[in-house]
Amino acid sequence: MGQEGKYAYAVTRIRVLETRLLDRGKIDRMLDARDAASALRVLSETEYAEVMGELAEGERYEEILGAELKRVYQVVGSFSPDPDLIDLLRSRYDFQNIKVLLKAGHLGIDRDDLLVALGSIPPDRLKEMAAGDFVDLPPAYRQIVAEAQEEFKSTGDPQLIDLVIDRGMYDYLYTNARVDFLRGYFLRLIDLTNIKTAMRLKRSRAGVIRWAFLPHGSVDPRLLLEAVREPWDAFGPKFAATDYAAVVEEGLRQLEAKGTLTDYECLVDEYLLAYLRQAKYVAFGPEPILAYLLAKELEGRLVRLIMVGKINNLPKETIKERLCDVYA
Amino acid sequence: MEIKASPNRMQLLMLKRRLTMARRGHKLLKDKRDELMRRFMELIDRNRELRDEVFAQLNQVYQGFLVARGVMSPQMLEEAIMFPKERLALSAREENIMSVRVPRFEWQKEGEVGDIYPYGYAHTSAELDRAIEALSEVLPKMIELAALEKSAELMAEEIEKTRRRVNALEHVLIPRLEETIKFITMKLDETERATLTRLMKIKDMLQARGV
Repeated sequence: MGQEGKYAYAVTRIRVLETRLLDRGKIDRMLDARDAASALRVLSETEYAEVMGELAEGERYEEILGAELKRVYQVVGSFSPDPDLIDLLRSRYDFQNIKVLLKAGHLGIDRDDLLVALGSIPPDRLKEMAAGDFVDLPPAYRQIVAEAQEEFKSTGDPQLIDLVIDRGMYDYLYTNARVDFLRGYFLRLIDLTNIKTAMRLKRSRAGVIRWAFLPHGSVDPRLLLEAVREPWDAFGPKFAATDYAAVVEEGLRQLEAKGTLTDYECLVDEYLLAYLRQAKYVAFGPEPILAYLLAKELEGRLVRLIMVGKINNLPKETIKERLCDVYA
Repeated sequence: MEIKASPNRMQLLMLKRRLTMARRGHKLLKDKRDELMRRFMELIDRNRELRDEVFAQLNQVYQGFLVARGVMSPQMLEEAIMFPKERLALSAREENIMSVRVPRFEWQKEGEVGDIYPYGYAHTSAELDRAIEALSEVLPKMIELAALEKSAELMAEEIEKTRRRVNALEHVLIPRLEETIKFITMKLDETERATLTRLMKIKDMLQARGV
């Protein structure tokens, strides 16, 4: 089997799984549900049924989402010819867990309940490593952790733990994403996140933080810094020449109208989804697998949003506003 | 209902002294009650104002958290805020309002570095910023509100106590004293009349015998 044959089976499996993603009809039915319990009933008619079992109460949707994502990673991992790519996606959860462990370590508390079991390193193992000052971590991780520790020690600022690890993580993701498609995804994510960070820094008048921006972006960091320093009027035009001009412009318009960045976040999700959709036309290659996993994560976010809205009795329109397009 | 007292002049004098004392006490307590009431009203007004303000802001906080909660997984949200950047040193002392000891809170921020957000920007929702910012603004007000509410509670207690005392003096002790004084006065008058009559009778009898 050649390079193409290797993916033939996996992509076929993915195509089948893709049909089981929640489509607009299902999402709409969840939105129309009277309460959280009936929204979950809609969910139980989908592939989520497999992990739902006894967890049918409205408040336990988080467990369902966690279990479902775990299951999906397992299934995809079982037939994917690229285990290291899947591990790369999983590594994001490792970093998430590392942040929890670092902070809990400095606070001297136990927050194992915040560890997620989706990483490439099981939480228990990671915990053991944390007890041994992280010396057993893979070298690439260890360097990032060491840097975060050092920054925290010299300033005592917990924000730096997050900032340094986020930077390190995106550096790790970007440099290890050997598939152009995935690299392109991270690039767009980094750019759009940086622009969002610029908006947030500007809005909060917090001033510029040295570590706030993520590396490897295609948007010049100097441009971002200028955008933070100069008035709002100059913000949009700064990015007019980039690929994100439309997203930024619309996001800013909504920010001015409603005072929230929710719409921008939504536009970013939509933009990234549109990018992922390109994978639909790839017949042989890792792209559909990656796109499926990322779409599945986004789907989880949609379900969470609906459930949070339903439990808190938010009107349907309010929830809908924040819902983004579905991959299918 | 009257106070048990043997009807003699000594008792009468004592009771009269007690009555003046009770009246003076009554007047003083009444003044205290009125002043407490006035202060209490002021306190309540400010309390209500502050309460409305705090509630409006908290509403904003919760809205922000709700959106953040909808967009982020609970683990991520908790991780973001598990290690606060600032600490608040709170010290309490007492203040005297009309001999009611009310609490006063003083607080000081510690460990202020850069901005107030204890998390990174890559994986957090922008709505969280607003929630944290609003929360940071509302916290001092909440501390003040706590002091005010406790003060109002203590004042109310004191007012109630004072009012009971005023009522006890006004409706129980003073009428009783007055009644007893009246009783003793009448009794003494009666005795005096009896003595007078007896004397006159004796005088008559002596005159009749022709002494």
